[in-house]
Formats: sequence, structure tokens, C-alpha cells
Amino acid sequence: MAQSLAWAQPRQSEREWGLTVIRQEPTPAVDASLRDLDEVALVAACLDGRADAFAVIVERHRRSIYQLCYRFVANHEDASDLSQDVFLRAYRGLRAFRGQSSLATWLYRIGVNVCLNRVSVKVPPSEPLEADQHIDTRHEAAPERILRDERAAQVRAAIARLPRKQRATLILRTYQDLSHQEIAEILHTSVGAVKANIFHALQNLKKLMGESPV
Amino acid sequence: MRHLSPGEFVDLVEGVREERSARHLAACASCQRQLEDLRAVLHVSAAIDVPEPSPLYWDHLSARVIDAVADERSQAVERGWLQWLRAWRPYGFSGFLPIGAAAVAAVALAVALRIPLSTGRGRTGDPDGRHTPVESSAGDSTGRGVELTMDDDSLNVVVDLVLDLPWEGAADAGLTIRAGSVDHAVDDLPQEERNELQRLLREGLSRNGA
Repeated sequence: MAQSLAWAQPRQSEREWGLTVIRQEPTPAVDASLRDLDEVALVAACLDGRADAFAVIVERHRRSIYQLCYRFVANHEDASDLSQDVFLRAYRGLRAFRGQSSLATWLYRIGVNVCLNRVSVKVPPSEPLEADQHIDTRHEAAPERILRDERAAQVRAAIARLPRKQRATLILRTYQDLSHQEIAEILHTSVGAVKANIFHALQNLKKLMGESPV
Repeated sequence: MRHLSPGEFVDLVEGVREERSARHLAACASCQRQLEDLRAVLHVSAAIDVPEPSPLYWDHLSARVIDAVADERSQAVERGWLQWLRAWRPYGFSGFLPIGAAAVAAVALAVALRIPLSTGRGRTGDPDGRHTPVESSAGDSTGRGVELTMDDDSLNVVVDLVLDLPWEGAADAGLTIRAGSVDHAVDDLPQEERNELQRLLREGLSRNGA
């Protein structure tokens, strides 16, 4: 089985670099015809017991779900665990998917619930510097890069400290680009409350990041 | 003087509403300052990307999820078994029931798997096929097989249990077969057993007048 190595920069509390071996897992064999199916047909195939149909759903949405989770917890390990949890819950509740909203919105709803539940029991760790390791910085001068990394870490830490609803609203609006109405549906609240949460989230972020955030 | 509401601020920050339409803004330095601050914070926070994991990570995540789903399925089958076993409680069985029922199921399975072979052997000395010797897998110390007969009481217990088994209960317990599984099972049979199966099927069909 193919393997690859992933280096992780040490966190502030650690001195040495970490080395993780990532096994290249064999991707489940997927019937090519499944890839052409729309969401409703894919869900129907899953309910018929086609495991590879669910693999296609995961393949289509894994990046956005991972990114959503990462925004909440601001670290790779937790985001990875949460992403798995989101898809597992989606699998369990697949019969409840009626196709009234898109599969992406439905998965977001599950994702937000999973993340909010996790956030309520676990204080997210502050952003590790490793977070920026895959951003192409070759053309950037070292001082610029350091400043940008520090600023990004500061913003992520600030977002991670926002109250749950404010954090969820800000993430869905700013990063997932959902409409106020969609966010209201996901969070079971009103459009007015969504706007109020965005407003208070931005105000709190300003306080948390200091008086001159830019 | 009424300052802008949170909703109005958000509409202005996101550009949903034009500044011209908020007359109060032109006359209120406090709201102007607040609006600029909110814009600056939004601009900074929106520029923060999620770091891209290793390209290998995505398949790794998929595999993790599919493994978890497979575990979930196997646990569901186990849960189905337990539900099926618990469903017998109303019929007077109590705490020892799960073990007993599992044992009965095991005997039923063993008998189902052994009968085609043994009836072939039994026919030579027992033309009517009612007396069916079945060797235990371990055999006994005398070298003789343990004999089960079609009128054996233990088989009657199995028959009694299975007759009243509701179809939904069997499905929940994972006892139903999947499409194609019979074909696979037949493919796996040795030629001798396949011939025996053919003979039994013909016999059954001719008895039903088919």
C-alpha cells in the first residue's frame, strides 16, 4: 500500500517537528455510471444498498465539509474527525433527505450541528502555525510571510473564541457564502437574528483582534 | 436621533444596501465610524483561507468515512439480531433466551448446510431418506458420526421457532438474502453437492406438479 509522509510544524508547546505517515487508502471501487447521477438518484442508490454511491457523495462534498469543519475548530485533526462524523450522520439520516434543499445545504446543516455540538464541549485550540504550510509563499518575502501568518493566526484564534451562534453565522456567511435565508434555515432562526449575529460577531472580532485589525 | 440597526449595518457592510439610502449615515459620525470598522474586520477575516491539506488526504478521508459506514452497517446487523432475539420475550422466554436462540440458529444453519451432503450418503442404506446420518465436524471417539434424523426433536424445535418468525423480524435480523447471494452460494458448491441440489430441486418440483 502506498504511503506518503506529511511534516507538521511544531505547535507552540512542542519543540520538535512531527512526522505523520499517511497511508494512501485504496479508494472504494466506484461504478463510473454513478458519477453521472444527480443528487436524488445518488441518494436513492445509497438507500438501495449501493455503498459506492455514498462514496461518490463523499467525494463530491468532502472538501467543502472539511473546510466548514476547519473554520469551526481551526485545526486539521479535529476538522478531520468532524468531517468523518458529518458524513456518518448523513449516512444514518439519508432516509430523511427529501430533496427539498440541495444535498450540499443538507450536509451543511448536519455539519453545523456536529460542529456546534463539538464546540460546546471542547474549547478549540488556538491556531497552529502549520495551517499555512500549503499556501504558496515562494514569491513572498520572509517578513511579509511572517506578518501574514501572524495575522491569520490572530484572526483564526479570534473567530474560534466567538460565541457559538455568532461563529456559525459568520462562517456560513463569510466563507461558505450562504444567503441569510439559508443560514436562518440551517440554524433554525430568523433572517433578522442572522443579521444581528453577523453584526455582533464582527463587533466582537474587532475587540478580540485589537483596535486596529488591518 | 435613531442610529442604524444591526440589520441595517450588515446590509451596508455587505453592499446589499447603498449608503445613499441611509440618510442618517450622512449626519452621524458615530455610525460612519462603526460602519468603517465593521467593513475592515469583515475584509480581514474574509481573506483568511483554510490551508489546503496534502492531495493524498482527500482519498484518505473518503476511505475513513467508507470504513466507518461499513462498521455502522455491521453494527446495525448485530443490533438487528439482538432486536430479533428480544422480540421472543413475549413468548415466555427470559434472560437466557439470546444464548439459546443463537444456539438454535447455529444448529439450524449447520443442519441446512449438512443435509444435502448427508442425504446422498444416507440414501444408500436408507432408501426412504428419513434416516439421515450427519457427521459432526469433530467426529466422536468411536469414529462414528453423530446422527440427526429428520424426525429428531431438535429439528422440530427449529421448525416451531421458524414457522412463527415474522418476515420483518427476519429482515431486521439480517437473515434475509441479498440479490445474487444464492447464485454465489451455488457457484461455490463442489460438483457433487451441486448435483445433489439439482436432484432435490427436481424432486421438489415434480412433487408440486411443476
